[in-house]
Amino acid sequence: MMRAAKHLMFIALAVLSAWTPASGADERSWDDETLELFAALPVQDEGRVKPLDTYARFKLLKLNGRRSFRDADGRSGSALEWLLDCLFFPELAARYETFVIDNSEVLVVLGLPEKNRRDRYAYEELAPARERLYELAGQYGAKPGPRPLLENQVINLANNVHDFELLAAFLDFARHRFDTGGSEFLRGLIGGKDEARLSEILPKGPQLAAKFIELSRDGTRSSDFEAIGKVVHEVEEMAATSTAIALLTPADREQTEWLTPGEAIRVAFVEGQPAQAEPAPAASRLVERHGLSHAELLAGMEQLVDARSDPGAFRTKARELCSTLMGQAVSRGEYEKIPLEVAFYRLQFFYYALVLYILSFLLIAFQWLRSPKSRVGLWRAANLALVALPTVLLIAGIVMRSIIRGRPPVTTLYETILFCTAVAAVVSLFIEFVNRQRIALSVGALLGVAGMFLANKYEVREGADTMPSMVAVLDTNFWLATHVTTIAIGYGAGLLASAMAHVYVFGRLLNKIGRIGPIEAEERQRALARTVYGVLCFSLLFSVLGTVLGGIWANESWGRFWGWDPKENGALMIVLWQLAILHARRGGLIGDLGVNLAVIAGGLVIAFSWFGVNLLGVGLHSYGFTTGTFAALAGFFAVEGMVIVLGAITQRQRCAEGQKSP
Amino acid sequence: MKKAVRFLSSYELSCVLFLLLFVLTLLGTLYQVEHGLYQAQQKYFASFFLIHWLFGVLPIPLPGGYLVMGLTFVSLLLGGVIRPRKDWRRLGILLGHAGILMLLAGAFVGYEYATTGYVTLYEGESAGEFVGEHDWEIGVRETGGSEPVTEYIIRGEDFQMLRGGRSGTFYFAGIPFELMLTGYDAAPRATQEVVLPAIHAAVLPKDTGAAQERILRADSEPARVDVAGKSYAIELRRGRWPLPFTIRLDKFTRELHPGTNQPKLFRSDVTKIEAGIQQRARISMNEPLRHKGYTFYQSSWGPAGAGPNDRLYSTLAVVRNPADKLPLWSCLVITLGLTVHLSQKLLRYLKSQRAKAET
Repeated sequence: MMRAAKHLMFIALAVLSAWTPASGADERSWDDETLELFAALPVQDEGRVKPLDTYARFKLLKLNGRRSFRDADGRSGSALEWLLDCLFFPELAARYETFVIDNSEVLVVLGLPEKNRRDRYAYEELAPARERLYELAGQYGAKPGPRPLLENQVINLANNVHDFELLAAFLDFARHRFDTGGSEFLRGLIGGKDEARLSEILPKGPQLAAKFIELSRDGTRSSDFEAIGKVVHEVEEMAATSTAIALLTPADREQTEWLTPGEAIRVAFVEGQPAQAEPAPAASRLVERHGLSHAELLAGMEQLVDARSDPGAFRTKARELCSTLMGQAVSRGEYEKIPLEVAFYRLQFFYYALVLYILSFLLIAFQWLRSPKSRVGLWRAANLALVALPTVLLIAGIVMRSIIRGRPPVTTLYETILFCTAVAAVVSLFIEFVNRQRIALSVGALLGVAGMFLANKYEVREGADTMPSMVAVLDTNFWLATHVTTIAIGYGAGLLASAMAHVYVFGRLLNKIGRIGPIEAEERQRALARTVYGVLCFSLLFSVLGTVLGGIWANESWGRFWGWDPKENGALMIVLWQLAILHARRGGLIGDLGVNLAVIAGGLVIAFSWFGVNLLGVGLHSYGFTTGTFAALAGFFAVEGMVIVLGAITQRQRCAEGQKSP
Repeated sequence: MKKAVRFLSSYELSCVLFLLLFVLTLLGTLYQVEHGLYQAQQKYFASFFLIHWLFGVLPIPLPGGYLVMGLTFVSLLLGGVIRPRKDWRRLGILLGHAGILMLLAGAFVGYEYATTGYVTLYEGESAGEFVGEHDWEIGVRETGGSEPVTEYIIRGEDFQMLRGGRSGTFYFAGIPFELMLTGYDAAPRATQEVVLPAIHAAVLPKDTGAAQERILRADSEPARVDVAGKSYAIELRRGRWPLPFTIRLDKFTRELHPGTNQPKLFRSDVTKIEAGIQQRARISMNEPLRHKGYTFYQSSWGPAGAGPNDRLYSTLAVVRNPADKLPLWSCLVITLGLTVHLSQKLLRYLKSQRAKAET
């Protein structure tokens, strides 16, 4: 994280030194074609090849807590525009309010003036406390054991600032001019000029090194020696700072790790002038590459940086460079899914699904107030369509993610949220299709809203790519497809049952208070209770299967069927709870109200197993970074506890009434 | 008797058992945060009775996991399979219950009768035995001689009951002393995942000479004694189990996701050698090697921090579980049962809805 600390100073100096007041000529603006080109630029990050657009989105989300940014003039822009600004106009990007700071105490600790809560801060504003920030983060980070929240927030901010500095310094190598005027040797080497670009220096690497060694053996500190030493040192700094994005494909096809410009600089400087094309069959794998060598690509980036203030020229250069880089990824077979992923994020399935779920919930709720006649014909079809449409969007999004990753639909905690929501919505549509009560439909729409909202919250909070690479033990599609999906179906259906049980309990409360149409209401309540029971059985089927399949998977990978690991236990608790409800109902121990209240409590068990177990921080399944989940979960438990108590009170009332009227 | 059967097969009992197991599971999960998995397992699940300290102050006696699961098995057998009427409408339920019974039985057999252990091999090494995970043995052998010597083994089952003041004395044909073992101690140490036992040993020379006392500790250097001019090593260590074949590690492969430290793949290429016949096989995460009732799983590797050219070792977990495949079969039975039952229910429900729509 805090590696290469000695280079940080250099980066900061570079960023600060680039802060000449923005001249009119440097006004940045990215036209659509340029954005299009960079969006689909393949880069390797966190173990997979992804579009630069995705990289930009999650980087901004991590630093800023939002998906868009505002520039110094208050205009908003996309994550990609922000990233391009950081790369090509770091002096402007330093003024954008990029960093979200949740806790103003962090600013107090840093001795900076604070703004409002959850306000955003520009790099420029944080820069004065930069030294202190890194110092504190280093101290806190070295402490063993769990850290208080404030210390974690300071470390987080330091990481974010570091991330920004790496982006700002990413193209420093392309901006830098090496001073060659002071040394005859250097002037001679690059054709008599007083300054040189990196692309001119790199091919001379071996000569520079040889001369440097020769001069250092001499022992005389000549001006040549000093100048060469400075150049070598500067190249080393460039190599150390240009490490944010791995966008160069390795020359060796067998190698899976892509290179950052920094790594390419180091290699190119050592290799020097590439050997003139000779027929060299032995080394053919190294020479056989598509398009340009790394050194040539680095030179291309210099030209791109030079053209930054001329949109037309910039676009032309960008087209050349991006198409070359793209071609290299294509030839390695690593480009295939890139356009799809760009499209996935552009289409914003989940955002539109959220909007539509909200709309459909409001429309259906409105009908509840109005007419009881809307259960038939066109109304019914329209109501079904209202919930079906966002559900289709949601499923389309899930399918597209599966295709992009070549994986079953659920592999991460984030994806369980999407998938469970889809399951709840589909089951509610089915129920509505069968019984036409509009209750399942309203609940389905509401769960859609809740699920999409939660997914969005989760994504923002984590601020990390939601399509990460899989650790070895998870990396088996068969088990992901069977165990994980069945468990998630069980969760989704169980939550739907719980939500519908709320309707039952509230309906009962309303009947108590208002006594509206007792006979019809009673009948509706009974039908609702039957539906809840049905959904519970459906959930149980998948919970049991998922749990047993989980055991079988564990038996395949660790040689034990059951190990009482927290997540296993969570799944088992869901199964046991649901079994207890079923048997208690069959045995006549609880009636409709009892079942519904127990199903609501079952929702709590699911929530515990789904998110609560990860908070324990032990066991094989404790994936997912879950700050703030605890508060949310505790709130959920408190509210649900109240609902259960309220529902139980209606039972007591009934008993009391029963005694009064013999 | 009838009353007892009716009680054991009642819905009331099954509900109570489900809820008890639910509570045990919850408590056992929370207990892990402070005390680790192993102790939670021992206290809540592999026990008949236990005292749970609510908030650390209020003692609550609870039946342990063994008792609850045992009763569940009986209740399930009587109430779910034997007593209910057998007809088509109950077929699904019957199958489902039978499947769960199989599962419980399989889990029990696995837990009680499986031998688990591991074998660690550097590339090129081979082994014809594996090291047990939970069982111990004491080895006694002569040292210092140049010729290979016979090692005498005392199996764990012969000394693990010598707790407290109980003692047992062991004789060996070729060894000039008797070994008296007392006070076997396998109490878990705080938050330790593995229990390391110790035992007190008195070496009593058969001819003359004073008794020598030693404490044998697991996972430490063997105790040394000199008797009748010869040196002996006595060692308390993990039990070793012979394999009916030899396994050789040819190559261990570890891949990371490019540019990260996140493991993508661990794989051991091995050769199993049996009666002179060699056969290659590949073991990776989720893809174990099964042969003659033994299953080999990719477990870990080392040495930690090895460079690209270092010789690596691979640790394979070895399990011999007579009920290895029972969970899978029971899963199929349960699936079948629940699917049949729920489809019947759903069809009936749909029919009733249609009837309702028509009236």
